[in-house]
Amino acid sequence: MVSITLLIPEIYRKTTLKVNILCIFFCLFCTCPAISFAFDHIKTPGGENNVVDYTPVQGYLRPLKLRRDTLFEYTCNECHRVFDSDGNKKHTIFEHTDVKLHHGKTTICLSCHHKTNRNVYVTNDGQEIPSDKPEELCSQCHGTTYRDWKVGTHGRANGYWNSKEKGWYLLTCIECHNPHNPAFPKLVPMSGPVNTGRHVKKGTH
Amino acid sequence: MSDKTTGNTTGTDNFPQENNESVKREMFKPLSRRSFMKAGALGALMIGGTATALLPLRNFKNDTSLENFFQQHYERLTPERMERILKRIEREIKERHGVDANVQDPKPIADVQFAYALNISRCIGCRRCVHACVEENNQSRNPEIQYIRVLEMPAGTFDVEKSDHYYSHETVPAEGKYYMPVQCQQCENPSCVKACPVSATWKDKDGIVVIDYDWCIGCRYCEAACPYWARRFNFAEPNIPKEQINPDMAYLGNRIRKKGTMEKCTFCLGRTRKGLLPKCAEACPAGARQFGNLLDPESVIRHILREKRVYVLKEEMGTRPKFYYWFDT
Repeated sequence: MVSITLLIPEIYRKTTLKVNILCIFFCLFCTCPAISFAFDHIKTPGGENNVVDYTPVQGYLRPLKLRRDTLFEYTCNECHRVFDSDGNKKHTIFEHTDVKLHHGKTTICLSCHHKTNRNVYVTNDGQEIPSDKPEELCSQCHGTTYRDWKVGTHGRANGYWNSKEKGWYLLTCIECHNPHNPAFPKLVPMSGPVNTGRHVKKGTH
Repeated sequence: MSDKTTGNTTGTDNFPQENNESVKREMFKPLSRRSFMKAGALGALMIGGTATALLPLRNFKNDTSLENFFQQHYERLTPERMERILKRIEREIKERHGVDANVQDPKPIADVQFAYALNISRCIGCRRCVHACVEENNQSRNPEIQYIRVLEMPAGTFDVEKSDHYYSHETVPAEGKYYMPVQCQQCENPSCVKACPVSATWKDKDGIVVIDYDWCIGCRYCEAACPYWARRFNFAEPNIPKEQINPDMAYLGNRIRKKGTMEKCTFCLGRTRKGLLPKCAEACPAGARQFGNLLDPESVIRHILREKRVYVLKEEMGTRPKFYYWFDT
């Protein structure tokens, strides 16, 4: 700003060339940013005064609840003591008609459910597995998955990163997988980054 | 030529020094009206120019306070000063956003080096992790910032140049693709830390690379230095709907930032330094993410490094990332 005084001839005549150039340089140094500040409110994308349109953020999937939550108050045996049911079929006729068995090569109900005691599951040689330990049943066929699950490499991470922390837990198999149709359905992907079109088209790198 | 000079009444040559009388007359000539008007106009221009240059200072009160302006670097703050700063931040957030925040400063846990493992056989590209992170870390919604970028790769190659991150199919996973989410790798030898000219970012004791948002000058050198594009810049003042603000904040982590600072994934240090999991690991519906302590030989991370097929991105850059990709099927 002081260098503007250079425009007055009386002062200009008294300065040397070097001083003139230095003054003009400093003059530009201040005025150029000053001019750009005046245009700031136009340059800033989505500036402070713009009306905002918030991108809707969707919720995320939670694991399926325990199958047991959907049963009535009475245990399985109370019906199955009275009603005879041939578990050697894949589909039911009167009850449990909502159960559609799509579990790989499993063809019959009795592969997992005990023949006479319907409150428990069954091992490959007919032993009973209590109903709160479904992993003992699943591990008979899915041994490698069971091994991974025990260590923490299969399944959702829960709560704490330190397995020795009080309150750390592992979700049991059927808390995520529906045992009758264990494969997860495909999900709809949530929104990704905004494609402004400024970047090169994919495949042309 | 000297004879025709207008201001020189005595008609002498080019060297006024040789004639003292005329020099004195020149220098001490009374101020003419013309010179006065010139000076006045130029003076006005001068003042106008300075005023325009100082225009941004109008927003000083809104953007920051004097206390914030003179705030010291995080590593030089005493605990008492930190207390005052946290209270001030809570007050500012209440004023600006109307939310009762709880801003803390959790310190690193001893004997812990955090590491992340991601199973690319399980990732389905649903982006639930991306949005859980956005909600947890109070990232700007408009313009949208997402720390995690999920790359859709064609099966059979590791070449990231063939990836697509703008995918939006009806359902995922798409046929013949696999998915690789990329976020800050919290490198052992971070390039961003080396690039920062003001040391606003550094590798903390538990391995997390942190940023002091108040010290950052917003030059974006770190963004240029990072081989994984992990760092995001706030080009505008962050816009977060009030009901989506996460009130549990950490000074070095997920507190609401200002325009002109860098931010990035911090492995949710406000959660992980208290024993919890990062939000992305909790949100993944496919169970693809594992998090733990590298120094604990019984942790899931160590198990993965021992037993599984593990790789890291851009190994040749020498950054030694602590984000391990693995696969089993």
